[in-house]
Amino acid sequence: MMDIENNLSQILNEVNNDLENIKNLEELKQLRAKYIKLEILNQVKKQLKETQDLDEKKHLGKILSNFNQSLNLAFSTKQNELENSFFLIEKENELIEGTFDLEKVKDPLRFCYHPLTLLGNKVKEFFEQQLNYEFKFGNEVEDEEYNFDILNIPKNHTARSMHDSLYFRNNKMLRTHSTNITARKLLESNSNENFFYSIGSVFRNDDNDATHSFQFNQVDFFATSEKKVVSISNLKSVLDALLKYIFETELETRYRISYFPFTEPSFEVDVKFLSSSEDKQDKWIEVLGSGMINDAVLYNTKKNPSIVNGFAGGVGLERLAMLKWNIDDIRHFYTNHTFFIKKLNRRGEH
Amino acid sequence: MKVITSLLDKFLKRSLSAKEYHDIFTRLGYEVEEFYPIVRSEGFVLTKTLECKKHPNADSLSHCKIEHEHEELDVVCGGANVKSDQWVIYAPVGSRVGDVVLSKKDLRGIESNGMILSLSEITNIPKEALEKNVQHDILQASETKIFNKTLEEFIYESNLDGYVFDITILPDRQYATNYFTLAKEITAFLNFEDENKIFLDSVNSNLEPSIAKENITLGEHAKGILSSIISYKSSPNTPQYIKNVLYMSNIKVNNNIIDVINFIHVITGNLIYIAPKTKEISLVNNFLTLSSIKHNVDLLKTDCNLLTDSLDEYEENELNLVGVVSDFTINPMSVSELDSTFGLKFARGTNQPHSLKRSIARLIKLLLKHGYIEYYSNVDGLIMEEELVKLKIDLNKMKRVIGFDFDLPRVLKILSSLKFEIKVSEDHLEVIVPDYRKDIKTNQDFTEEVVRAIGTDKIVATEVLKNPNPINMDPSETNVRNIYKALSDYEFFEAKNYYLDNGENVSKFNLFDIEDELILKSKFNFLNDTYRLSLMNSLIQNFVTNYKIKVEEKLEDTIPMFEIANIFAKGYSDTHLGIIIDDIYLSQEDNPALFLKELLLSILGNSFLITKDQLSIYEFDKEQNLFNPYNAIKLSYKNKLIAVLGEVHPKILRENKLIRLDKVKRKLYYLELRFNRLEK
Repeated sequence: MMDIENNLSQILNEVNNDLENIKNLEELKQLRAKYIKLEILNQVKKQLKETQDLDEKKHLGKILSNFNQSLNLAFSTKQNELENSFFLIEKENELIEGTFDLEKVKDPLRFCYHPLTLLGNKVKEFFEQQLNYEFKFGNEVEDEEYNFDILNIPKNHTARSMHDSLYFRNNKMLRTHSTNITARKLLESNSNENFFYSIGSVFRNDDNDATHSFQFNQVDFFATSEKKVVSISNLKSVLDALLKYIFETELETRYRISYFPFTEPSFEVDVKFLSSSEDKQDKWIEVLGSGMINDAVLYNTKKNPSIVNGFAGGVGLERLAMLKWNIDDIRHFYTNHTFFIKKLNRRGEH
Repeated sequence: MKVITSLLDKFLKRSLSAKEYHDIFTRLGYEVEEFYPIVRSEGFVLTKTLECKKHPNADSLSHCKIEHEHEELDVVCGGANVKSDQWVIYAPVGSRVGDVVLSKKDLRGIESNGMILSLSEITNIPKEALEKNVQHDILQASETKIFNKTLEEFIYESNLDGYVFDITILPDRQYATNYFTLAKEITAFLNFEDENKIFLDSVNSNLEPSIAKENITLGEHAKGILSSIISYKSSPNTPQYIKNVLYMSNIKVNNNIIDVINFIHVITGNLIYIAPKTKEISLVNNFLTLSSIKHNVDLLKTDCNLLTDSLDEYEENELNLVGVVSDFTINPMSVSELDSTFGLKFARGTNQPHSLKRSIARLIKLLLKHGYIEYYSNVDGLIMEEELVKLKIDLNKMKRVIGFDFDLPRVLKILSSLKFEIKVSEDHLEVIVPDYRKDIKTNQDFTEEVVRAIGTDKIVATEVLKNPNPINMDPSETNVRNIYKALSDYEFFEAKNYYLDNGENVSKFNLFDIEDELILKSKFNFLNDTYRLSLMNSLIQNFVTNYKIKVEEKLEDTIPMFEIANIFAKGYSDTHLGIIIDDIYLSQEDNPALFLKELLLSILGNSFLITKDQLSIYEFDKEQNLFNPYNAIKLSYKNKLIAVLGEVHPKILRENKLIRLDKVKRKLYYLELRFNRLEK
């Protein structure tokens, strides 16, 4: 036993001596390889495995782990030292006092928005310039209350399960839709007149593949009023106008009765696209969900449903972008390839 | 739900095309996921096996002779049930089975000309959906039925004609997960003449009880019980017909009795339980315990466990049929548990009551009508009347919400034919909701039904609803917009990254010493379980990804990127801006970190009105391993660290393979600013 201990400490001495002479990282790498393969280490490991005596096993284990620690420490200290001497050349920190003339690097034509920001800006233009709705900034980390309860989503709804939604250990969660803004804004507003929209990231416990993403962006908007008529009819005009504005062309839309806990009646909206495939069949593609705000939500947010009514809608930004620009994989938005970003920014330039 | 159009045709008493069904389902709010013909291939023919014997060189193959186009052909067949003198469906050489175009093939010494087909080979029914013993069987066409008939006629008579529609029935419309209701709605909404009276019959349950009333104790949640002795008659085509329907509806095939239960469920929407007649029946509360979840469900208990036992050992024609009438709500868990037992698919998220009121009595009439039973007796009529939902609708409010003129009398006619009882007065509607429509509880629910009757394609778009009031800009959004504006003068690519990262990275790149990061309750996506505390790692990864592409394409491009995103921890929320540039962003003699510093000062000055002399700027300590301490600084404002910037530490470059031994491929410079709390 003493032999092993002595042997190992002798090796450590050798290592330290060898390290003194190392000049660069390549040599260090080779030296490390040499010591990892030492025969004596294998012997100790073998002995540790075979021995039946518990005390001996403990002792051996301790020796071995001490040795490994010392060895690693010696190597990493040397590596730090080498790296610092090679790459971190000690010099005066010019950042404290130094200046730089920004004018010489200005190049506004080469600035590129992320495609989702590009499209988001278009949505912002629509709601602010055409409808005069107010942008509401929102939290991605949310309480269940705002994500579910106020929005009339039943306690036993499957969306609440860990399987569908992402919860943190402190009982907060990643919002599953940006409709949480509707809940927050309506609750904090004392007025019956509310015209808001928001854009932001939402999260689902989904796998990432070509058409699914655990994180994506959603546009959400709502209007409530006592004074103005808020009807299915003008919901349709808003949605039709929004889609036309985004796709920059006349579109055929189809409204389908659907179900969302926070709206009643609820509609899903499909847009007709000419298929790019050979069969040239027109395709209806679902783009957004909307409806008249459920009385239960108005009630939960201290509004009187008998005098106030409202509409709301939500749409996935990635989906719109994929349709607008013919993008076949949602993951492109999160790989951030500069050629992809550049292509969509410089689209109109040719 | 999977709907077979040829079956639905029978309830509609008319034949509709696939396109018509597509439009109708869409109109009624049942989203069509996909549809496909039941029989998926053409070129098959009906023919007869002339002779069949065991393949001399294979245990599980048969060597058959069939007649095709006046020729006698050899066909090697793997079906266990193939025999001589049998009508079969034959796929000749050149036809397509699945993805394979058939050609002549030597099978253990015999040249086989085409195939004799099984059910899964001629239909879209996946093999896994078939019973084990059917999976390898060929489809037999009974001779008496098909003698001298074409394949089309055989397909029609075997109920293999038409399409399978996979439609999504949303949680609020669980009442419609059956053929009866679908047929009823289609009939009403399309103004078909209602020829089908089965499901509109009201049930007269004035029948004698089979169990003495005094022997029945109703559980807390039960409203009544029905019981009857039935004898089950198997008509010649029933088992195969039912099995085919179940196959195509994705329902697991069991034994004949369970199949009938499932069949009836999918046709009528009623769930029934059948127990052997000879067994004792007693009523227990909270009997149904599935996966240790107790439900307030009253069921009749027998000493035969209907959910798990096979009923094969009991004689099929003598069974006691029992059902429970109850107002309980099956919550989604128990529904999905029932799914696995009965193989049924329900839409997720339902909490619709699953009322069995009148179901048994109605069912018995139905069974009689279709000849499934020969006689019935002693149906207990202990039904308590359920309170029907009554609504008073303010017509003006409803019209205001809908927002355009519509044909009210037509709508009322449609709803009346769906058993809504509606009284019209000058400015109100008094509505009694039929008992099967558990989803309609409020005036808004009724409005949806009205819109459905109007038809969503008839919605008129009027004026766009504008906000008449002045708006304020959200301060956080103002900050973000200012920053975009400031950056848009330079060459930058905007990046967007996932907010979750693995815990180790998150603590390593905690630039601002933010405490208590948010960690997911359960692991997601193997490594990403923690909310990131800075944007640094994401942007470095973005750089590295792009760098590899540039190297591959031999491009010497600079890759300047930035990201703006929210950061959260317990008690912390702010918006961060991260910028990464490389050493070829500027000319060689300039220090990119200095550019970042000046850019930062200009942003702080222009967007937040913070001048350089209001900031403290100081060096990094030497121990940290994220920045080169000789070329990096921290900035604080009002004693709070607001930004870090500088040259990225070689250690990080090495970890990302931007250093190979002693050669640096590309140096990186990074800036991160947290800005939402900076006062303007």
